[in-house]
Amino acid sequence: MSLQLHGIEGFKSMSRIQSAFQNGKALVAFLTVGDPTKEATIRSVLLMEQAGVDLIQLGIPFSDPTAEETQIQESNLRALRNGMTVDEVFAVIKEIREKSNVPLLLYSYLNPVFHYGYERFFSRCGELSVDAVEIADLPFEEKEEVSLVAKKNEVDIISVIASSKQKRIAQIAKEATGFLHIIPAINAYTGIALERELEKIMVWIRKETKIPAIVDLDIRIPEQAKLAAWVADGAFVLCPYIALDAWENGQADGKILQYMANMKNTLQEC
Amino acid sequence: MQKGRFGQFGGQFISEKLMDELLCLEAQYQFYQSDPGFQQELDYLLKTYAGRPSLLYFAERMTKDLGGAKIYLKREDLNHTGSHKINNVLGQILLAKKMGKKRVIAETGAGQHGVATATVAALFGMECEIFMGKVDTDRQALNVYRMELLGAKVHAVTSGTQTLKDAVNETMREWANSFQDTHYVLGSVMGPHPFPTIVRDFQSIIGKETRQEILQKEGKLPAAVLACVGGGSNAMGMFYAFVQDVNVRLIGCEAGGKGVDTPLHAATMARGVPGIFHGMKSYFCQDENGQIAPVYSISAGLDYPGIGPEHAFLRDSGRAEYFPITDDQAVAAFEYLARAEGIICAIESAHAVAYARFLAPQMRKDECIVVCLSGRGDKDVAAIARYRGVQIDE
Repeated sequence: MSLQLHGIEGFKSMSRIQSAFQNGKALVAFLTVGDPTKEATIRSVLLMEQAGVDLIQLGIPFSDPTAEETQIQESNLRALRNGMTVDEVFAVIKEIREKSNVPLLLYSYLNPVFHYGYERFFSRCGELSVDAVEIADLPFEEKEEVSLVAKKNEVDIISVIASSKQKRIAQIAKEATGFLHIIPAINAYTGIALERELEKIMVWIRKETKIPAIVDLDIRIPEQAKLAAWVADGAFVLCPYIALDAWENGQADGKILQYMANMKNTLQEC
Repeated sequence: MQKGRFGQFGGQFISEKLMDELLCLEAQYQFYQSDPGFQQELDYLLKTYAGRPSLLYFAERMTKDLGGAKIYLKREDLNHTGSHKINNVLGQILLAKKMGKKRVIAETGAGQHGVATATVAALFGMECEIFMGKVDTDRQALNVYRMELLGAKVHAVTSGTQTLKDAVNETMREWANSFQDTHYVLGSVMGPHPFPTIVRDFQSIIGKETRQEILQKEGKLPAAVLACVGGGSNAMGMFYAFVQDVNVRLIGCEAGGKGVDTPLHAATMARGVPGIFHGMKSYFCQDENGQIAPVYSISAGLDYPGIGPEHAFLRDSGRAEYFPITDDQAVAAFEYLARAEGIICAIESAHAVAYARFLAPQMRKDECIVVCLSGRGDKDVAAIARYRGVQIDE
């Protein structure tokens, strides 16, 4: 209804990112493209959508993902050994887009994007209806590197909040597009202190912007997703790695459906 | 020019997770850099603990043998811990102490930076953990044990190519999880701003001393200064005092491995292209898809796919020149210096000696050049023996 109303009144219709936050607390899930195969990635995305995942982040593999733990690096290296390239990632997205309209965002380190060419990369994102891009090693200070070309192609750049300082959080939130990805320093807080810190961050964010915010707490079980949903608009989770043989013997579908449906159910209860 | 940039190079291309800490480090460094008390403390340590100033030695036999320019060696190998790395480590750990940190972490390739960090951590009573590629812990086993003797915990990094690049990856990961009480003592003029500037400033004492000493000895500036480059800290430390002296050639010698026409090298300037990695825009060895390439060198300290951003700028602006030196040339220079001058230098430094052997004979006898001997070669003796097919027990 609101979609149509906006249309009639001449406003830009609700973006796919905005729509991802219309179904209760949002579940945002990440997977590396091409691990273990291209086909598995496409199938995973469709299964996750079916299980209620609201927004899917697709990682472009990089040889040295220093912002992630080694487990993610291994996933990236498996995908690279499978011949995954930026062009191959776009080919995967093209296939997904033929079957699904699920909100998609890309996650990358800057170097593969730089090499592909910023203009070429973001125009391809625009063509394939990639809704946003998050770049692991592009903090606020360096965002001009891609901000103009991203805007021109109507692709949101997702900002990360990892600071504990109001000034920086305000600075980032004020100029943020799409949604905010909060990654607190979980090691620095225990128990209730983490919850208090997140609440404080959300208050600071809300003073600056209305765009949604999700929390990334290295979530492995639905219980952990509750805190993210309690304080913010959604939770960020990793799609569990499923080895090639599970895909081959047909066990993969059930695993993904069950894992993601459990997460989404927990979020719905919040 | 943007903050932390050298022309188009440099910057702060790093996870947002580290930005609070980098901004804090930048502010603290700016404060202490202009604090006379901090400088006095550092000068005292450099003098009484590291043994500075290091000698500028006239290599007379080498000069005669090569028959061209006079060759001087800047003896960073004579510093405590055996390399130039101590200059930067004393500065950074003193800074870390002032910042209230209790623990330091560092990456290391050949182990020289790890040893220097473990040493100064012991001196300051700080906890210390060193990350070193598994391949390097094997080929530089002596340095691993030295670090452990000094009380450091050494982690053998088994991810990726298991060399210096991966040691940096792991140290960055560890830092993102521990910066509240931990300082990352980055060992070269690389990484996100402010590290390239901090490390260059602490290493610039090499060039400052050299410039004064050569003016005293020769009454004029050298025609060229030479240094090996991996990340490029001893080279930047040597070059910085001479950047404005446009008649002094600045020459960096990088790891040509088995040759730059083979896949086995770490020649970032000869074969790399611009890219963004480890927090900086610079030159990197990488494939056509922007994936960081595995690199190779006999020298664990030069076995890195990138180079500090200020070097990238100096090269592109035409101020400095960089040449690849093969393993064979470096090993020959290592052996040559031992026999000609009775100095066993690090295999890293031998890359600069190799270029001096090529350059000096083409120059006039009234000219002089300075080669930075960044480290001593005790750690390399076993590896050189293996290279020559001699099996010895360390």
